[in-house]
Amino acid sequence: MYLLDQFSSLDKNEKIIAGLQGWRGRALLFVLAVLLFSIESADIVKALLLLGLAFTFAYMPRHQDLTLLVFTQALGVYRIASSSNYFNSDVAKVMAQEHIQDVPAWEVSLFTYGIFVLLAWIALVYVRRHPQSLAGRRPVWVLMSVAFALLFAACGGLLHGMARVLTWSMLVTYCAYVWFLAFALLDQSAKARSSDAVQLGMLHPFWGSTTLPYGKGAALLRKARASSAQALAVTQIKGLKLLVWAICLYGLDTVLSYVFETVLQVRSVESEISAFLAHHPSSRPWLALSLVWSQLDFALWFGLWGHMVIATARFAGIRLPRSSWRPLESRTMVDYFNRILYYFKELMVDLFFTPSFLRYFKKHPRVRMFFATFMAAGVGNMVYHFLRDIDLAADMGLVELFTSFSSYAFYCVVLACAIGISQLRMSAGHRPSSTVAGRIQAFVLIWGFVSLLQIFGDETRSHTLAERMEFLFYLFGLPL
Amino acid sequence: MNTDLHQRLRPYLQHLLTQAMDTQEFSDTDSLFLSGRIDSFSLMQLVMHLEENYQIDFSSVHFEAPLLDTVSDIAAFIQEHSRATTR
Repeated sequence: MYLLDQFSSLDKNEKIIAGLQGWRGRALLFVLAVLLFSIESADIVKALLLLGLAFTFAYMPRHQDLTLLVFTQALGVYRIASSSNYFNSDVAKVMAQEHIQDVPAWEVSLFTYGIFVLLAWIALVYVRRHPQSLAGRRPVWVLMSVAFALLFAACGGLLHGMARVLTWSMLVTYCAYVWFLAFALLDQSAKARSSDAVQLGMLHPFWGSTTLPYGKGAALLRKARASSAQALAVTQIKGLKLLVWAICLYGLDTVLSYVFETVLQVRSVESEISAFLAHHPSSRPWLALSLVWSQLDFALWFGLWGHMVIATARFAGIRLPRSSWRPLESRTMVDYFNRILYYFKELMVDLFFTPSFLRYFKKHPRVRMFFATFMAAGVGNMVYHFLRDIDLAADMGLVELFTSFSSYAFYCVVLACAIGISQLRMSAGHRPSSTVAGRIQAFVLIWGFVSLLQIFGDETRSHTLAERMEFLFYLFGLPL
Repeated sequence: MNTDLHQRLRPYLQHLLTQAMDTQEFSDTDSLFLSGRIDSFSLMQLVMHLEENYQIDFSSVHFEAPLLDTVSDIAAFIQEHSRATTR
């Protein structure tokens, strides 16, 4: 307990903070960070590269805008040029369909990436010069329209040969960067907007991200940069603490995976639905265990992955909030969403909730809140996941791409309604009980609900909505 | 610095923090939103409060959460955009 207290208060220890402002302390921190990072990634070269960039960025305060741009874009190009990049496999798939073999997929991806960055920069300049244009007033809807136009052009049978390959390549690149670009376009109307170098440097910044912008955009970066050597040292210690916690979660997930999957032989939700449809269902308690494990595994992986990214950003001296924070203590659905998927929630709030809230139903507070919540947790959630998995279009084609999404769309609607109702109850003055019994009740209700929703939230698209509904009814012993 | 405005804002912010079971003190420059002490839901409650009490039309101004991060930020935002304070 003493050690834990000492560890928790590391960022308040004056000696350590002072030590990290000298080169010995910094070198020691770098070595520690690389070793810890390598435990999860099992790749010391990757750890050296990523943390090398982060620490270099931190110790070059005078040239950070340019450094951010160079590091981010260099890493972007490196990822595409390395053969394991998913852009390349997506592009290779369509090249095979179009019988194009004389150009390597990575060259096509790299060319498209270059064009994308150029177009993104032109879009920034355009929106800045024409704030009253449609792109200036409704950047998110314009970006969505472009994504769907690219999708229909690439998969609607209009284009063939290299034209289709290039359009497809642009589509997968665009969808990987679209939310970063949305933040950059929104920032163009800010008085203290950042330079174009920073905006382009925040397109999948070097500290890591998925299609979800961890660290949001330039607006947060302006507030989050450590402003002094002491603030930098404190931020880096917080990064180290988060990295240690991430490794603990990694250890926990490894142990639990072994217990659930190897010892108890608990199968994935998808496998259980398949077995049910083949008339060999597991017993109901086992199905419930599968749902609980699926949700727990999801929460652990999101926590672990997010902590690794945020820790890297903190080593770079950027004081980003954690991506998940004590999700088991969630007291309401809104609270759960906020605690487990902070940056996803922020994306939905900034791009869907806030614009809807500020524009519509202003004279009807409850409708206003519910509608804005639905636009975020329902519509925004749907669009985000649809575009994230846009690569499936190459195999499925347009019709199946949309029809197979019905289950996830249903998941979004149910989740949005649950969060909306939770918001309305809060507006009406309802507060969750702070007693032990109240906390346990909140835990069981929230985690039970989201575990159950895993039936529809599973993203493999291998079962229809009707089949999943049938499985749900079976789980509760109800005839359909 | 408009200390009167700061003092008028503090009780409402205290109310939002209490809703979130946060009873810690806060200064005029303490981060409330970016630090996670006020969540997006509470921020929208704050927006409604500013609309009603300071006649700010949020649909016609550039708005982003960091602009309302501290008491001082909120006060500056009101001074810049409020129709009530410019009258």
